[in-house]
Amino acid sequence: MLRTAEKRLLPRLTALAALVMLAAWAQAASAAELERVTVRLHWLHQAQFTGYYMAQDLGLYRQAGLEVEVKPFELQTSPLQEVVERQVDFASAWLTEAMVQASKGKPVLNLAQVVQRSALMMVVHADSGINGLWDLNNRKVGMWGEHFAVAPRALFRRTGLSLTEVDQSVSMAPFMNRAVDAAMAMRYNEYHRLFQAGVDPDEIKVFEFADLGLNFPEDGIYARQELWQKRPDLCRRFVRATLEGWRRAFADPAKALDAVMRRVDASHLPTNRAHQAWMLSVMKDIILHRVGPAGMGELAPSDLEFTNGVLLALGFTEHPVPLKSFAVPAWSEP
Amino acid sequence: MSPDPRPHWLRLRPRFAIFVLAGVGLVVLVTSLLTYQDNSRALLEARKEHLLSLARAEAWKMADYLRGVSAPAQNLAAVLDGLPRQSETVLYDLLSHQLERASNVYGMAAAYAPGSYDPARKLFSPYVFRTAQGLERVQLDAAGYNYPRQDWFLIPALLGRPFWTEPYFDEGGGNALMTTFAAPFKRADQGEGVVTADMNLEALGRQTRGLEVGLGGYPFLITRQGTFLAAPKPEWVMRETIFSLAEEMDRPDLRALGRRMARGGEGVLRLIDPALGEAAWLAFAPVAGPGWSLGMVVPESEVLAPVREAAGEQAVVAATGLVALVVVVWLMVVGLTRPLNRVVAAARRLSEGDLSTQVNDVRPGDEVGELAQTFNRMVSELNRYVGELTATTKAKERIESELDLARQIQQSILPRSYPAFPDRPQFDLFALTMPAREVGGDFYDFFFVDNDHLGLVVGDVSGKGVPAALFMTVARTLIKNSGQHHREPLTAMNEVNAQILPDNEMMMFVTVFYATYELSTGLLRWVSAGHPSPLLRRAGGKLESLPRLAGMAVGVDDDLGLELGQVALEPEDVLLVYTDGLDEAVNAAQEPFGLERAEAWLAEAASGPAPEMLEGLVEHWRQFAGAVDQFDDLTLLLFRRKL
Repeated sequence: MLRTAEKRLLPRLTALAALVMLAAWAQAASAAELERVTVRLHWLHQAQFTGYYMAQDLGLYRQAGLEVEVKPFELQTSPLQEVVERQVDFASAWLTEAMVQASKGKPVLNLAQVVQRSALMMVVHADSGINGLWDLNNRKVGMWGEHFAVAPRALFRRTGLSLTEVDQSVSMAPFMNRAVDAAMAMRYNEYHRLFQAGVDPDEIKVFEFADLGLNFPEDGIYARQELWQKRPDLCRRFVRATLEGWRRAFADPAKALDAVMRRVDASHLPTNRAHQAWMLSVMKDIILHRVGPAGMGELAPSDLEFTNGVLLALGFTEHPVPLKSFAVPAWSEP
Repeated sequence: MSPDPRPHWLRLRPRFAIFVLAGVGLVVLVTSLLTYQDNSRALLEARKEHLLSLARAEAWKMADYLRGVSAPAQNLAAVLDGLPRQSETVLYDLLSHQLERASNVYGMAAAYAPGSYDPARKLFSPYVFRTAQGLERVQLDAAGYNYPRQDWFLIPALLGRPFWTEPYFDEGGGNALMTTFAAPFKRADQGEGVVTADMNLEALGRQTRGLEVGLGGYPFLITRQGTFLAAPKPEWVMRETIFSLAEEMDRPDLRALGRRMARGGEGVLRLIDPALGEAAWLAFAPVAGPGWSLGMVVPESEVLAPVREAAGEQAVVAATGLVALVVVVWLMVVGLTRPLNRVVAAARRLSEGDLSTQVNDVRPGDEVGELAQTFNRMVSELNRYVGELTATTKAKERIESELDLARQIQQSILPRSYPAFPDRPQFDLFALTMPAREVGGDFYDFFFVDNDHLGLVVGDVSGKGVPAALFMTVARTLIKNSGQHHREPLTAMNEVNAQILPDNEMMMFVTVFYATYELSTGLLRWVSAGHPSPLLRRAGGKLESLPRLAGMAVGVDDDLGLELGQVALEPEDVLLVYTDGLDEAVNAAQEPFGLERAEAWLAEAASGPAPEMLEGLVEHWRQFAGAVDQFDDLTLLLFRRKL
């Protein structure tokens, strides 16, 4: 027989024991069951990748059973190539680049289309006399290489413009020093860097490719075909946690910016908080474009079809990339 | 009467001190403020000027230093412009030769446009750079470095003119902050490539940061894109631009400043410094070459510190001066007011009745001394006057007492008993006299001439006072004498005149009513020597006017020209004899009492004992005259026949 005091004590002891066991199990689970995965970003740490940072910092990956290493872009590497070569599990990449790789038979798979609207634009000086696209004839246009050239080339081809392409780096100095008449810029990055270099918005004129009927969705999350076939749940958990990270970032931009700046500071990157704040706000626009918070991640078949057409026409690809083999909805419930 | 003047709120000493202190203090304050403003302005101007010269000088020094970087590259570009295409080895030697002499340069390259050096070899760019072991040679394209895309190649090649790149972190060069100068060279008027000179910015940054701005200020350096190369906060370097700060802090003025600086402007302006967070002065000047802008910032508080210190010293001096001034003023006022206070104390003693008081310890020679002397003189005068006054008063008092005695005597010689003749029931008789002064010139008398004849006298001596009284006494005595000797009033009066006239040196005269009344018949016989006729009221109440008889006053001429009047009195007839003090009395409005009022009174007056009736008349007369001082004596005599 138990005495009264012990009767009262017993449930507490039981609860305590259960708690201890639970904690031990959780400990074991975190150690044993957290899967280590890596993701390669296609650029240096910046607000363009806030979703990954928030998922990491807020423990969303951990909750998904993942221990994620977020690796920024490094010179002489290609994120998609690393995915193909199994050096990383996931990669962030532009749709056009991924489609070119896929058309070459590389086993890359679109798990989610994050950026729905192109942020690519062309800037000209307001006093350059370039008021419309036709004024670009016989002018020098600074261009970034490879897939960044898809949209401008498609534009020049469609309009039959005759101009001089100047291969340049991402520096805006050639444009600012008027070595080129027009230059490419991402709305979330170079466009604002011009502002931060003292160029007033009314001193330049912009042509947004999305407005010119050349909206190529940009950032997406990619994996090897094989990974998806073997571990669809792993892919889903990673993608869904990342997209949730974006939602949290949009809900609490200040916290998101802290997450960005921590990484920027650690990497000693020459950027500043005001610039990253701008970038995050633009990312919100182009990620939520068309789909809204609930539909984040979807690759619209029409977008893929349109992109296929342009890539084929410009000779970037030799045959269209079929939706079925290129993209899976890892962003949605199974 | 004017209202009482408002009293002073403070006594003389504090009032004087306060006024002087307030006045001088105000002047000192205003002067100090003006001086402070002037000094501030002057110092600020000087400091601004100094700051701008400093910025210019340092920017010039920096540009000079940078020419040591750009010159070798430009020299080599000029050499390559004129030479036929050289072998790779010669190019390396040329680069090394330049580099050896240019200690500020980290590395130099001769970068050819794709395919222009050797169509078989797309990129060609020999590069020489410093290492610990000496100069090292390398082909820039070796590691797949696509240099034609880079700013240092692209921009000068496209523009055909030299170019300084924005600073960058160079991973190949030890992750150092670098900038590159590049000068294009040509062949047959075709751009063939650029010669570059790389420069490590660490030393320049250190040097800039070490610039002595003074006064707690700091230097900073920004590029043409506004990027900080040297900044008050190390974390700003290469990360923030002046424009990103403006954006982050929402400071449009910073952005405007950045644009001026980035465009190569120079100037001085005041701003709230983003690093110090306080008002500061900024001078900026462009660095020729890369087009950077060097800024010098000094906090305004430090600029104005000397002015504030000077103002502080000035305040101390002014305060000390004011205190000294107060002391001096106080002493002066004390010196001034102490004798005044003595005079005041003496005046107080005087007012309390001390007529012996004097102000003795006040030095003469100034206004206060004069005041004291005057005061002393005044007290002496006062003493003398009071002495005289006392004597005069004593004399007057003596005279007054004598006059009083005289009045009593005068009154005593007039018959005052009533009834005057108790054993004669045939008539009722009473008379009174009221002198205008202590002693009068009026008189009356009644006496029996013989057993059946009663003499009635009323007289009025010309003049007043003691002489009149004396004259009256003489006249009365003479009349009584003559009356008792002569039954005829006319004879009696003429005799009196004859007696008075010879000795009348004073030329005094007397009007006299003199009558004899025959008790057995009621016949009244009278003469009037210049005297008004009496009033008669018959028994029935009817007033009867007695004729005005001729006759001059006694003492004027030897022939009086008297007429004799007679009237028979019936029982209850009332005769009123008066002097001109009755009808000539005036009231406050200067109206005379007049004979009419006396007649009216007599007509109305109830019959009664003679004293009561006269008192009634006197009361009536007094009511008319009120408090007005009468000029003439008043004498009344009332006779009533009873049987």
